[in-house]
Parts: sequence; structure tokens; C-alpha cells
Amino acid sequence: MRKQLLLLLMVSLVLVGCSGQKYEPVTEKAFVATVNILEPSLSFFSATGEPLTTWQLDKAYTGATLVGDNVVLYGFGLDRAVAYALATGEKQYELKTGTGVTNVYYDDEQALTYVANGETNRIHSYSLTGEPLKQAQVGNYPMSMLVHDGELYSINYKDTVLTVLDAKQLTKKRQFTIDKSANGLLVPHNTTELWVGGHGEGAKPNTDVKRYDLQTGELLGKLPMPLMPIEFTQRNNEVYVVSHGRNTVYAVTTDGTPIWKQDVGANPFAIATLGETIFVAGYDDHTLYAIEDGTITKALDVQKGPFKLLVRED
Amino acid sequence: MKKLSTRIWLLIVTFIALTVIFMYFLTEFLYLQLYVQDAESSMEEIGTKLQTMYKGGRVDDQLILDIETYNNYSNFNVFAVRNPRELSACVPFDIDYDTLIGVDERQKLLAGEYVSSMGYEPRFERQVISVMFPLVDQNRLEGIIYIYFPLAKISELTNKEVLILFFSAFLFALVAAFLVSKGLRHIMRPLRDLQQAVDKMSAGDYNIHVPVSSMDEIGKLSQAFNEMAAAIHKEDEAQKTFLATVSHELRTPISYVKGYSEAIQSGMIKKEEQDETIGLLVREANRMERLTNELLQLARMTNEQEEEITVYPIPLAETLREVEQLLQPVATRKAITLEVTVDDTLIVMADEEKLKQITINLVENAVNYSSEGSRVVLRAQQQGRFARIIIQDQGIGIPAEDLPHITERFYRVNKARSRSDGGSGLGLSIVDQLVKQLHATMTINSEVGKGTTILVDIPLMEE
Repeated sequence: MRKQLLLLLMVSLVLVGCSGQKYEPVTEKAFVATVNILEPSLSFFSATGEPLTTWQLDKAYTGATLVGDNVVLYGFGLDRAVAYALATGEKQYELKTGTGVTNVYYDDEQALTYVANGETNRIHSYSLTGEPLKQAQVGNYPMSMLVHDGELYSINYKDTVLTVLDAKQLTKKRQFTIDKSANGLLVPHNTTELWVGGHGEGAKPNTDVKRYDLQTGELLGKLPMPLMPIEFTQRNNEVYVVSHGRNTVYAVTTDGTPIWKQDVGANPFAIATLGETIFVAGYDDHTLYAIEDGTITKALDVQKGPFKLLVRED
Repeated sequence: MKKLSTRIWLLIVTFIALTVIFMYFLTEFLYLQLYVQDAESSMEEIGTKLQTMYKGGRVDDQLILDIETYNNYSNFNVFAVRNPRELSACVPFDIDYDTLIGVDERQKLLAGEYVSSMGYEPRFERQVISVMFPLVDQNRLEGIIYIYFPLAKISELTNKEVLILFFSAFLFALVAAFLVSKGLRHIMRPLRDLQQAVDKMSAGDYNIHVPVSSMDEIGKLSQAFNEMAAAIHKEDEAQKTFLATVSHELRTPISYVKGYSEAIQSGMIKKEEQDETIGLLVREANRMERLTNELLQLARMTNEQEEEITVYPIPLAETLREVEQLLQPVATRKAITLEVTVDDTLIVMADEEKLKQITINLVENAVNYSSEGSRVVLRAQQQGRFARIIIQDQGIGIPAEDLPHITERFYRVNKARSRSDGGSGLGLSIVDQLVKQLHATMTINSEVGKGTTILVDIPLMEE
């Protein structure tokens, strides 16, 4: 009898140990969430801006990425990334990344998770169960990543090259010259261009978005922008650029024609679209803004330091 | 073994050196505290005023220019910054650039607070005090006003100034050391004088006097030393006189004995005169014996003075009668009437031997110095808590100027030392000592030609 009790206790201990941290489930299909990094947390909102829940994170996570219906939490100083199921709030699997993770990117088409490491200067790919698959050495401090047409574009943040890898095999295909401290990648719909944003090097802030030829890497032109355009999102034929140095969202057409611009938030880093709405997170004012038709329609309080946005469409 | 003055000098010089060093650090500390505080509050005032130039929105070129203009006329270095990169706006990203303000400072500035700091600023390549004022609009840190002032540390002074500083400190220490040494020598001089005096004294010179220049501890010591030296000198003189007197007293009978005995030996004295001569020799020998006995007694008494004499009740009348019996024959020989009147009830606290000797000596003296046919009275009566023994004669008396010295050893009223008196000059001295031993007192009243009255008061037994 006593032995059985002991066994039961051990089993339950193992189970508890396995499950670890459990968060409140997010059942809403469409949501937008801010990844707050000053006091790590995730703030979830419905598409209409109703607060859903807040996940207070127990570790020094510096980012999160949606991988299907899981959210992968990662941190530069943490040696593993963890995937939690949104539907249950329970831990699913781990990615043994080692420290130095600067970004995690998920591509639905490839069904692969890409992890950029700023310490080893490598990009790793993982399966949807967290199995490590391939890896490739890239330039100094890989960070922004984008998969387009079977190719993985990766900005080396502290380098002057952009690396293009095969999205599946992670074999290096080509690379071309970009500015240092570049951030933000976008291939506007129906174009063969790659748009690259950035902070600027040294004391000199960057004031434009550079347009490169996807294949040749040739600099096709510069779109003058408010200070420090660093993130993009697009819907239909409009591209939205957030400039954190000027607290501005700039809307242009895919050929670079300005449509409108709107001052928003304080030091905004992240931009995303959900349906008709553009969401922008102000890092310094801890607010999530909703923009519709070029005007701010909502300002939602979030936890300190919203740095990234997670969006799940219907 | 260093001299005391050297040690004190070293101590004081060490203290001076420590003080100089301490003052250096204190100055530096005060400089930082007061000067920095003052600069900071001035900067605060200026910054707060400059802040009002900002009306919200973007920090425009005009504001930057205005502040630059102000800078040209200001004691402090002032500039406005609007470059987000300088303001750490990119900080969540890893930035390989040394921004003007840090993350924590940015947070404070965002909250509308000003930030002050002091320390090394790599951008200006020196220590600065700086105060930053935020230009905030709708939670946006649009820019800052940066005010700083280079912090010249005392140690940053130019070589020349440092040299002057150290030279003055050194000179000050040197002058101080010299003055302290002078002062110490001045303070220590009486001690040195004293030491020299002690050296002289140990060499046997007692006639010394140390000058007393102050009334401090050393002055008092010198004074006490002078008194001690004087006392020793006096004692030494007395000793010398005593020795001289003793040898003189002994030489006279010895020369007699020597001279007469040699004369007898060589047959210079006739047979019929020899008996008389031998009588003379015997008398001189007796004199010598008595003298030596008395000297011995005096010496013994000096030793006895150290310890307490045991006294006990004695019927005074009995003692005095014994004395009467003893001296009656002597008196009769000189045809002197010895009259004794005693109160039989008197019991005194004394030592019988000593009491008897006092009385014998005094009565003997009275008899010796009285002319034939006169009268000597020995009386005893109660006088308060004392028994008073009165010895009265009608003798030659003592001159008033000799009275105070009468109890000194070998003091004689008759300076010619004629031996017709037969006294050694020690009798009264011995009596005086004995009286003191018995806690009694002696008073001598005398008038030349009329006679002497001696009163001895001895404590009575307490009822």
C-alpha cells in the first residue's frame, strides 16, 4: 500500500515536472498579442481590441513567435526556446538553441522554425516538434529573417551583408551588400523587390528604405522615410512602415508612392495587420495602437516594453 | 634611547604631516561636495528654464540653434540632442554604438525627470558633472538638453600649480618643525637646568639654586628642588660643624692626656707633682668618656626617633625624689639648697628612665650654673592635662639671644669653651630630644644674673 502511494507520488511529480509552467489558454481564433520585454509578458487582445489575457513570463524572454497554434518563447540569454500551445497554455516542446538567440522565424509553407543565433552567427532550422534539422553559418549577428519563394533571407545586423539560404537545406545561395544595423525585411506583393529597413550606423540615423532586386541584390532605389524605418507589414497593395525614430507609420504603395502617414506611440518597434486594422506597439509608452484608414482608433495599455507583435488571423 | 624632547618633536611633526595630508583630502572632499553641488544646482536652474523653450512636438532646428546660441554665452556647456540613436531609442536592439544616455537614464527622462551624473564621460574625455533635461511630448522623448561642466580635480591641476602646492605644504611643514623644535627647547630648558643641577649635586655640590622662571609643573619641580637642595645644604653644613666640634672637643682632652702622659714618661714632672697630674689625666679621661657616652646617646636617640617609645603610668613624685636623693650630695658639695616640692597624686605617662634623665640633667645644670650658697627649686604640679615640672635656679642665667639656640648640639653660651663649666654642650640637646620622645614640652625662661626657670610639661595619665 505504501509502495503504491510512493509510486503515485513519483508519477504525479514527473507529470508536474513535465508540464511545468501553464498559462491561461487563448481560445479566440483571431488575436493580436504584444511581446513585452521590459518585464517579460504577452498581452493578448481580440481583433476588436478586447483584452483577452496576459501571460506573465517567468524567464528573461526577449521574444516570441507564433509557430502554427503554438507560441515559441525565446531569450538571448536562455539556452532553450519553449513552445506553448495557445489553446491549452501548456508546454509542448523545447528547442535546444543554446544562448544567443536573436530571432525565431516560422514559415508555414516550409513548416519550419528558423532560429537565428547572434553568438554563433548561425541559423538553425527545427521541425514542428522541436527537432533540430539543418544549420548554416551566416554573417555577423543574424537577426531579421524572411522566407520567400523557397529562399530564406537573413539580415546580418552587425554586418554589411544579407545572406540568402535555401529555405529547406539552409545551403547558402548568395549574398549581397546592405547597410549595417539593418532591420526589417519585406517582399511587397507582386514585386521582385526586397525592401530593407534599418536604424543607421553609428550616430547617423537611417532615413530610408532600400529596395533591392531579389535575385541580384542590386540596389534599385531608396524610399525616403521618417527616421529609422525598421519594420514592415503589408495588406493588399499597401505597405506600412514603422519609423521608431519619428514615431510614425508610413503607408506607401508597392511601387513606393506615399499614401498617408500617421504619428503613433512613443518609440514604436512593431507593426502588424489583422484584418483591416494595423496594430502598432509603442515601446516607451507601453501602448498598443489600432489604426484604421490611416487614423488611430484605439490605444490599449499593455505591459512594459512591447517589442514585437504576434497576430493570428481567422 | 632618544631624548624626550626629540620624541615630543617627532610626535608633533608627525601630527603636522598627518594634518597636512588630512587637509588635502578634506579639501578635495569639500571641493567635490560644495563645488559640485553648487554647479549642479546652477545647471538645474538653467536646464529647467531652457526646457520651457520647448513647446512640444518635434525638436526643430530653431530650438537646437537657440540653445547653441545660449551655449556661446553660458558658463556651462549646453546642447540639445534630438538624434534618437544618441538617446538610446534603439536599445532593445543590440547596438554597437556608445550612446549619450543609457537605458536607465532614458527611462527616467521618459518619466519627465532630469538626470544628473558625475564621472568620466568618454565623449568629452574627462570627468564631468552633467545634467540632462528631457524634452518630452506625449510620452515621446523628442530630445534632451544636455548641460555639463568639466570637473577639474585638484590632482588635475597643471604641473606648476601642483609644484607650488606641494612646495608650500613642504615649506609649511618645515617651518612648523623648526618652530616646534625652538618652542620645545624653550619649554625644556628648565628641565635641562634641573638635570644639570642634579648632576652637580651628585658630584657633591649642595650650594646650588635653579632659576625658577615659570609656575608650571617644571617651575614647581624646580622650586621643590631648590628647597630640597637648601635643606640638604643646611644639613650638610650642620654635619660638617658637628664633626668639627666633636673632633675639637675630643682633641682638647686628648692633647692634655698626651701632653701630661709624655711629660710623666720623660720625667719632666716631679714625683710629688705626679699625683696631681694623674688626677688631671683621670679627669680628662672622664670628660672624654662622658662626651663619647653622650654622643652615643644622641646617635641612639636619632635612631629611636624613628620608632614609637612605649609610655606607661609613673608616679611622678617617686621619680623626682629619687633624683633628689641622687643629686643632693652634689648640691651639698656646692652648698646649694635643693628644695623639692611634689604633688604626690600626679601620675604621668612616660618612660621612667627617660623621665629620670631629663630631670637629672636639668637639675644638674641648675646646680652647675648656680653660685655657691644659692637655691635650686624642683617642683611638680598639675597644669591642666599635664604635670608641670619646674626647675628654678638663681644662677648666672642665659642671654636672650642665646635662648633659641640653647638646645642645639655643642651650643654654649660661654663661647670660650672654658672647661670650668664642665659641660660638653650636649646636655640640653639630649634633654630636648628626650622631651620630644615623651610627647612633652619644655619652656626655658631666663634672665642674666637672676637665674633660669625651666618648665617641662608631661602628659598626665587620662582618668
